[in-house]
Amino acid sequence: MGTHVQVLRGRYHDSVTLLATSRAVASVAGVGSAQVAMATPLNLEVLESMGFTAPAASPDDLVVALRLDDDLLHRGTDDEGVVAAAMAAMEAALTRRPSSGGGAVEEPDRTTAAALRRAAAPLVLVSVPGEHAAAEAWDALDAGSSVMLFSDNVAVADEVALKREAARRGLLVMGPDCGTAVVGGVGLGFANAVRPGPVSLVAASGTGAQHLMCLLDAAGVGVRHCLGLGGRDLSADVGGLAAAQSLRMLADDDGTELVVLVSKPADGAVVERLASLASELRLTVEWAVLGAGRPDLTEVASTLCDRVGSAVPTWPSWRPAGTPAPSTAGLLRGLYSGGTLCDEALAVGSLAGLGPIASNVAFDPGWPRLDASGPRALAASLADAGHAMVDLGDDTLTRGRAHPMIDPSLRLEALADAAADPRVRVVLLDVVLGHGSHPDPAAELAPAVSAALKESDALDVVLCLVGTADDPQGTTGQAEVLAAAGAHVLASNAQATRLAAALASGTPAAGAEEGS
Amino acid sequence: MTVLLSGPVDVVTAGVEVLAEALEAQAVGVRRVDWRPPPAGTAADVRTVLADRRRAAANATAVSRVAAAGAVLADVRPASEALGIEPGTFFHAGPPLTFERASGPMRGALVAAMLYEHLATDPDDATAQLEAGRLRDGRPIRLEPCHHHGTVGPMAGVVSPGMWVFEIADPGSGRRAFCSLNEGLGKVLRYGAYGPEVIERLRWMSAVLGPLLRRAVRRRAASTSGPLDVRSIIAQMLQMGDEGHNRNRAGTMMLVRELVPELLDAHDDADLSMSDVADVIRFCNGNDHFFLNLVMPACKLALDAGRDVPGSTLVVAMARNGTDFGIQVSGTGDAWFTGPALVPDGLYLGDFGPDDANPDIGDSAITETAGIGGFAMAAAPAITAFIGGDAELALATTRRMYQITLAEHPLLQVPVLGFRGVPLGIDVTAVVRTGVLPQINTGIAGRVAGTGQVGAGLVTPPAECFTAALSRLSTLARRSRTS
Amino acid sequence: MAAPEVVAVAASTVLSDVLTGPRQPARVAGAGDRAGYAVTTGGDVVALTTPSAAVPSCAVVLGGGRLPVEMMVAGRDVVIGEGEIRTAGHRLVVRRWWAPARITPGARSRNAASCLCALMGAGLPVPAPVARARSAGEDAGLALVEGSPAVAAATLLGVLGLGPGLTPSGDDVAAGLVLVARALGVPGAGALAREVAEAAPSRTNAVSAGLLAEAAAGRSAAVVVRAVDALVGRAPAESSLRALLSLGHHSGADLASGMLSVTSALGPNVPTPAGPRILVPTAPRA
Repeated sequence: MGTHVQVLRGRYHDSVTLLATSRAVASVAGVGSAQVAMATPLNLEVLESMGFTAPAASPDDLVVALRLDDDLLHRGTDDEGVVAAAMAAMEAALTRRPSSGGGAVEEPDRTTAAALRRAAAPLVLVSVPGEHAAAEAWDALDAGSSVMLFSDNVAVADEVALKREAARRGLLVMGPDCGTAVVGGVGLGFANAVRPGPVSLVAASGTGAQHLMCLLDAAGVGVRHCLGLGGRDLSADVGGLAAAQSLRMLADDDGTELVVLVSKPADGAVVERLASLASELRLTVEWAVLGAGRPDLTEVASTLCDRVGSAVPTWPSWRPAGTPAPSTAGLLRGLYSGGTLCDEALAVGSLAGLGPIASNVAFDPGWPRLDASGPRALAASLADAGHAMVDLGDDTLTRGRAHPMIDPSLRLEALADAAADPRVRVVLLDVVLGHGSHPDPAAELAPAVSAALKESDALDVVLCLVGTADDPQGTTGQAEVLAAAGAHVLASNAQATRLAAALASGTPAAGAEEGS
Repeated sequence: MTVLLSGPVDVVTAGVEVLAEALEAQAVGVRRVDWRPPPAGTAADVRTVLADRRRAAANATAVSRVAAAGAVLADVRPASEALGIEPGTFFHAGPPLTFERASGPMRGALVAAMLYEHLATDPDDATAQLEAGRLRDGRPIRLEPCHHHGTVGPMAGVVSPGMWVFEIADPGSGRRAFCSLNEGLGKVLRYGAYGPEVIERLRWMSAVLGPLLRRAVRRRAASTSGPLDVRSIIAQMLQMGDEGHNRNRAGTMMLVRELVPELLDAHDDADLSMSDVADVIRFCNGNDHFFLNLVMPACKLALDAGRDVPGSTLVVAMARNGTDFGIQVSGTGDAWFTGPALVPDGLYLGDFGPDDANPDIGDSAITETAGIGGFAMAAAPAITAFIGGDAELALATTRRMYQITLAEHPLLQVPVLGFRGVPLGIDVTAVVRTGVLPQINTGIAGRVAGTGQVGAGLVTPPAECFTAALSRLSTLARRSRTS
Repeated sequence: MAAPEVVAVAASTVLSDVLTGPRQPARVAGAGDRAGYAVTTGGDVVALTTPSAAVPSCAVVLGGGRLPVEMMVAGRDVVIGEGEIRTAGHRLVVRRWWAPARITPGARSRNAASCLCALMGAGLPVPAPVARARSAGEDAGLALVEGSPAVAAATLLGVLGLGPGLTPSGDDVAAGLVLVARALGVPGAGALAREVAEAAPSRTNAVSAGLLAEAAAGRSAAVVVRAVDALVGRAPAESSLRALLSLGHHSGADLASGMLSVTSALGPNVPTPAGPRILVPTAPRA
């Protein structure tokens, strides 16, 4: 009675697979019995007890033990042939994969309810036109899923009803008009690829949240979640329903050590209620309310670094190629794609001693307002303006075209206009990278920056680059291309604004804020 | 910790494609909703009805009642006795109808019923009385929907006092539903034929078929096996290639198999004519649709159980009178929401063609309302030889119906879909939102009174039935919120 | 030859160094139906799997689609580093990082132990090696609680590698014991964890040894961490513990057995105040 024992080094298979494999090998003609198993001490004991000589093997190794049939006539081949057939059968059994399971095509799901009935999901991302968005959101809540409502034009009454129901069920409705969220590292809508960390954001502002997250990522702190609220949540009408629910959920989230709430100035009673809820939940909340006289996002990021015991870094910046422009004074043109970043630039700029800054954003009632009823009106309005700061993402300017974070054409025109205006000394821009944004903004913007600088010797372009190393566009590559085109590139919007203001006022030490 | 913040994040997306792609680029599992805008003007009603917090529980209640309803064959009786129907009153298929608006086959069927009831001497006389709305002796002629009387009728669905009806009972609730006896194929009353052979057959059905079936059904009900379980036969027929609307071959065979011993067991009835018994068995065997008239009331019984649940968007009846298609909804009481019946698309008999077809007619869409018929087409790929299309169409149709239904039937299953339950319980909101209309398998009646059946095919309700129902549900939802 | 197909994956931050470091060879050392396990020459285990609560803490997760077959056949060579895993036909590129679940020290109560006992009570009789591993776990739990972590370690080392499966019963029992001991702050738990992790590579297969090292560091699959949370009163008990017990073959029950060995050794429940919340170290950088 022949036996054959063979050891295959470093091959692991689970016991269920090996059981089936043993059976397959035992069914080969000429094989009396077969054991295919991992060479654990226990299994080797079993082999010994079956009369095999246990080989020297480690638990990582696969051992094959065959007892061959005596009846040579019956099997019709020699031992070698039987062993070869047995090993082939073993390989076939070990590499077999379950079939894909039927080629029949399923009907596509036509409602969120149908999709969630097929399989549950913790989150539904709704971006259908506003009048239809609440329907999909109700489907989600009814199935026990949270919702991100990217859609805008959702009625306040629907927003309130959805958020009340969500809170009742322990779910969250982010939005409507929620452009940015990060859940467990997954970026939704316009969001950057941030590394995990202990800080969670609750944000009523999209680009503000993106900027803060990118700074936290650059500081090595990282982000756990960013729960978006939508622009109306902290108003008296909605009463902070989503903010309250976010705080409740984050209080119960083990990975969150510190919460920061990012918003523009909100309804006082709402903020008060949220503050008392936070203390009830024993949740540490940092309040980043943006506006004149309040800490800017870069200061908030520094505070957060301190709070989690992380060193405040030098915020990244990239020096422009080429010779510096002469230190003369002139006008500032801020051409922003991110609304909150534009607000922040106005607030920072107001402290820089430039005097009134015209804008299409309401900031200081004493300052001139730009006519942004359309791209043409804006161009005409800018031709007569002094210092100016434009939010190019304003609804009136994006009618019939994509948001400037996706479609740069409107901004490229404004940049060319500024370069052609001899009064303009510095152009201040933001570039927001991340999921959802233009796949390669530098490719569009760098030639325009070069052309602008070529047109005017006395021009500087200062650029705030909102992005992370892991963003699909790659922050470093984008920064290098833009700097090579002659732009000052800074990770901090506040620093970029101060640099631009210094250049506009002709201060020679303007470059001081640029880091490495 | 919540599922959202602690678990792996996989996402369902509805809307902009780039947002879904951005998620996939992050190694997130994404399932896309194939979202399309609902018809213009419906968005506000959709939102209001979906926001109605009574809805989910109401639908769960309604549909579980439908699924739980049983159906046994309790009796066979004359309509006059079972339904209290008086001479001059005729039940008909579909939503309410006047003779003036009635289509050819409906008129033909009413003429046939007048002749059968000895109320008219000839078709012209019958038509004249029907047009006048009065019998010759001055009594009024009343046209009433079958559905208002716990009854359903295939095609024209005309029931008059002398006709015999199956009586189906739900043992749980004791509720009853009724349906006439199936006449067979070809020139028959339900397709609007009224020639002498039609009337003669109806008379034989009352004189011989009805009484013999009654005897057999009562014997069976009194036996140790108890009354015949219609729902159980429906469950089996779906596993044997029937869909319970346009294919009832296996169901009919199972019914005959159950009734033959009771028909033959003559020891207590010396007067029983064996040739009558043979005729009855021959008649039932010769008509593959004989069982349809038990399937329909079984479905009616189930759906009636789902009626009148406030807030529910479940469709509890779909019925056509040859002119209008009407639906009723659990949360809107007895109101009908109607639109013009469409002409089915299908295969035609002999020399007939689409020009000969009457718009959709009959209460038989109660089968689809209950999750079988067109909804269970995947169980009956052979049906496509009869109504057009191929086996893939049958599979795709059933799969599509899951998009507009609330549940899957626990007992009625489709083998080829891994014994998945049939799509049960049409949801008004889902129909409006998806634009997917319920798929009905149906016979096609000739347009001209007296023609009979001209083909068979596929049809859907007109979409406005559902938008109108949704609008009413929306009004009621707002009212419930403020009260 | 066709260019390798690029597939986006999400990686655990535990793997930050090995995945973003220089390229190094690795070999697929084991595969189940839903996961493949590559081991680098340095002994790092990289699991490749589809999303679920049972994803190990040292895993790379595919968003959708099917797992590349080359990662599912033991013995195949792959290359890991510079932000990706290269196989014969695929480039699995890390597009996202996630933080694995980890044990939070600080118990609120131990009431859920009785719930877990009840849930396990209905279990089927187990094969001898499984029973042996579990009984060794009970001895180790007692020894640890009685202040003899060295005895506990010796007992656990005796059953490492014992039993069938990718993670042998002895290893699962040890992992469950170590995780709960850390969560409850039992003195000596850290030393015990270190000793088990150090000894594992010579006593069990490389994949299981890698997973044990993760447990020793307080990390595991979300479903396991949640079960530990439940046992110490920080998560709903029944659903969390049922999810644990539903884990493949004996694994869930073996882990549970290891967990209970500590709670039962500690005796009747003494409610403790909520522990301090500690800061998670900052995300590792490339």
